[in-house]
Amino acid sequence: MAPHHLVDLWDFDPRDPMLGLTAAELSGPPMSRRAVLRLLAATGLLGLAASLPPPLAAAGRGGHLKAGWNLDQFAILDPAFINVTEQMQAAANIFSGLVHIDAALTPQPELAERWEVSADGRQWTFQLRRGVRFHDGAPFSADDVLFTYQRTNDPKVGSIHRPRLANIEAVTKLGAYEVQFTLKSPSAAFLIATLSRFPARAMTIVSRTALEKMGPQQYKVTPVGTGPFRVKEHIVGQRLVLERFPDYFIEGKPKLDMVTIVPVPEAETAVAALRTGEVQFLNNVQAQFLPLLEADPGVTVLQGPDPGFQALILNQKTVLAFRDRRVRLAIAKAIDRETLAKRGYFGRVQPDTGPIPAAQKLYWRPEKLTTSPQAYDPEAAKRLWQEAGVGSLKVKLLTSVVRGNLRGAQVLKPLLEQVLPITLDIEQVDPSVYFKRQVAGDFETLLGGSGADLDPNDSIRDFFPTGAKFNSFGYSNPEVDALVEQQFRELDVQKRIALVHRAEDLIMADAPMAFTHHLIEYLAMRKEVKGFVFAPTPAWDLSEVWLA
Amino acid sequence: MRRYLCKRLLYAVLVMWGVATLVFFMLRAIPGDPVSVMLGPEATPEAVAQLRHNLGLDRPFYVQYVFWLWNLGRGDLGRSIVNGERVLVLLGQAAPRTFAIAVLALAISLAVALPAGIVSALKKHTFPDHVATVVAFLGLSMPNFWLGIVLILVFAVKLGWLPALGYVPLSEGFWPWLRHLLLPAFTSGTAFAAIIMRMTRSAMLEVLHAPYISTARAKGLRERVVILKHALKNALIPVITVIGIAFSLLLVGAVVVEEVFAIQGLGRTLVRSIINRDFPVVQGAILLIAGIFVGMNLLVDILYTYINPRIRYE
Repeated sequence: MAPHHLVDLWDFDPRDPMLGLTAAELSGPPMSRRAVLRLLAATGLLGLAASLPPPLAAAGRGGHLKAGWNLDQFAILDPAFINVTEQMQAAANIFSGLVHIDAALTPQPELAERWEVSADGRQWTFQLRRGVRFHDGAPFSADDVLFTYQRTNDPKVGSIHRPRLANIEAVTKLGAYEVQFTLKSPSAAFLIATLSRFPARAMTIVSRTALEKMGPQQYKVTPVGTGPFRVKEHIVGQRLVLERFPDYFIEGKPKLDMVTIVPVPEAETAVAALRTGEVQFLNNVQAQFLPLLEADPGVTVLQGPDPGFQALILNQKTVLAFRDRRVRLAIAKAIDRETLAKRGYFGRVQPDTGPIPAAQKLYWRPEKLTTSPQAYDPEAAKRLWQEAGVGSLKVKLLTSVVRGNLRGAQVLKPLLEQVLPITLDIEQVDPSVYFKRQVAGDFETLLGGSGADLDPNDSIRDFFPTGAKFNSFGYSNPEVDALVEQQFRELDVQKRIALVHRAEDLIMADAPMAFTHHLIEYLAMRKEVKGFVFAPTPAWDLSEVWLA
Repeated sequence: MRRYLCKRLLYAVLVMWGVATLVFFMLRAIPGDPVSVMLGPEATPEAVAQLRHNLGLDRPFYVQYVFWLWNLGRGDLGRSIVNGERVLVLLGQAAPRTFAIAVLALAISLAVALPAGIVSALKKHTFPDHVATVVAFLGLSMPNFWLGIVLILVFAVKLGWLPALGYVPLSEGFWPWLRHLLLPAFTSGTAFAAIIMRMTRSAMLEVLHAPYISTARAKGLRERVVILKHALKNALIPVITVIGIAFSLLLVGAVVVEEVFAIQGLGRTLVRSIINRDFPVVQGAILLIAGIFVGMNLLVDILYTYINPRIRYE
């Protein structure tokens, strides 16, 4: 059962683009708590609101933080092109937006000091902060807001965030420090979905002078922003050195003098470096190393549920036998998920039988694992298989190293084969090919799933209705289609929860996928690193961090 | 000799052009597209098409090829599709790191392998020979990946003597530079030390049975002179061939060591750019590597003439 104040938030009509909020409530800062939480709800971040961090202890300052990042290179630091969470976590410290979402999931003024919303919700007028400078010394003004808008919106630039600007009719400069956004239709989500520094990225303010001087290619490597840290040195693949920007517009921030981020693709090395103190912060820890780090008195491990699901997807378009529900359900029932989690994922995932993750607290049902139609039952699986009369079946299993699924596939294969007369041929491909083939439906079975599902719509609506964005596996059930649309429109949160559960029950029973688990996110740092808050947004704030 | 050199250099250019052309077209024939990799799953088809256009990837292959050759002729290798950095800068940063590891690895392996090989040959089938042989096979059979991680655990985590990862340029001081290189160099040098040691041993054994060694001894030369001047110098021919190959392999095959120690060297740059289908970087790196191989082979051939004056090139 969800905390009461969260449930109450759903007393608005989701079809009302203003979420039942008045223009005064939306104007800010400060925005009312009610407005803040409704915005979060509307933009799918509400599930995370229950994990609001505790207030920070008194802070010190200074130091040179050395961090290890689990990726091979910071390929793109230009917000118009950033598509990798790990790069966002770092780039968030170089740039500013008009607003940003802090670790408490509250929209905060950043380059905008305050804003007003017209009564019809279509005119948003922002008063910009004065005296802000870019890292190269150029002053920030309304022109930079217009430039950023035009750049992201220019199809020739090819920004992947252009669709986020689709609802904007015009951006007008009303003065050197005043801009107005006119929307095609009113939208309360505008603030977070379009204007936030991260994750929106579409209006994260970029430097025109720097872009013109160094060109768009070099800007991806050594960008210039107005954020707390500026790029001192970037040797691609070797290190990204950020130094304190002395002219940063918030007094007293950042606290660190310097941050050096080393990309360390080899997890073993990253962990060794954290243990020796060569790096003091790791953005991601793989499951097999957790016992080692948890036992280290100099290290703190933080964790949180990852909003997403993993499953064995059964493609009905390419394998005829999968069109029989009994075959699919037999496969789902034949998977011993506890063993899969233990052997395939070092016990550091959450076994489950449905798409809704624990991160969506309001909708999460822990009992699914044992009560769902997909719950492990090898005898029932064999019976169903026999009833369907398919005999033996040989299919390919497409997988990649993504999310530890190669190892998972190697464990899943014998688990399934010892229950059913099925043979899985594991086909391992590069991530680039893997995602392409998943979206195109070019596979027989696939071990994979979804990520960044902050709301049930991301988990269900994107995947299971007939012809949905990621329904590349030929699943169709009109009843599910109807339920998913109904929950999308439902005003009452209790009713919405019930509808989501009914849709999830039907999906589990139809078994278009054999759901296996949800991931858990881990990061680690040395005890001397103070002030870091594990935010559920991808904009990790290093400006509050200092070294003891 | 000069004529020979000119001929060899001409061949070298031809080989490199062939390699470059082959790589250019093979890269475009394999599935996967750099722009989709770069833009990720959020990208709209329009954005992908636009970026392909901006990067000139929508032009016919032969047009791209001619442009690339033209720019190559002017010394411009282009920019990375994925990260936007100039390929020359990327390779210029990566090459010294790999080169430093390779030189140090070679130095370590020679310092161990040559004396061990000589002793092994002289004391054939005795205890020192057996020890050297067992150690050599151990060195040969330990995978780099595993050895590197064990070395990190022992020397960085347990003893705390050496850093676990990264590279520090020489400009930040000799000792910090060397400290960061020791473990990777030792890791990559081990297998080659074993090969060079075994090669030295068998070449020495062969030479030691040659008539001119008996003659030298009959002349009453001191054993030291017989071994080092007469035997070793003649035994070195096959060893130098192996060293040449080993050094080339150290330069290009360091990808495992570079991944383990998080050093962005040539091998890692190449492998990562292949995974990302980063055409310009792959092309530049392969060209550089082909150049290294051709150059090393030429160097080895020239070295032969100094070691064995009977070898002459016309």
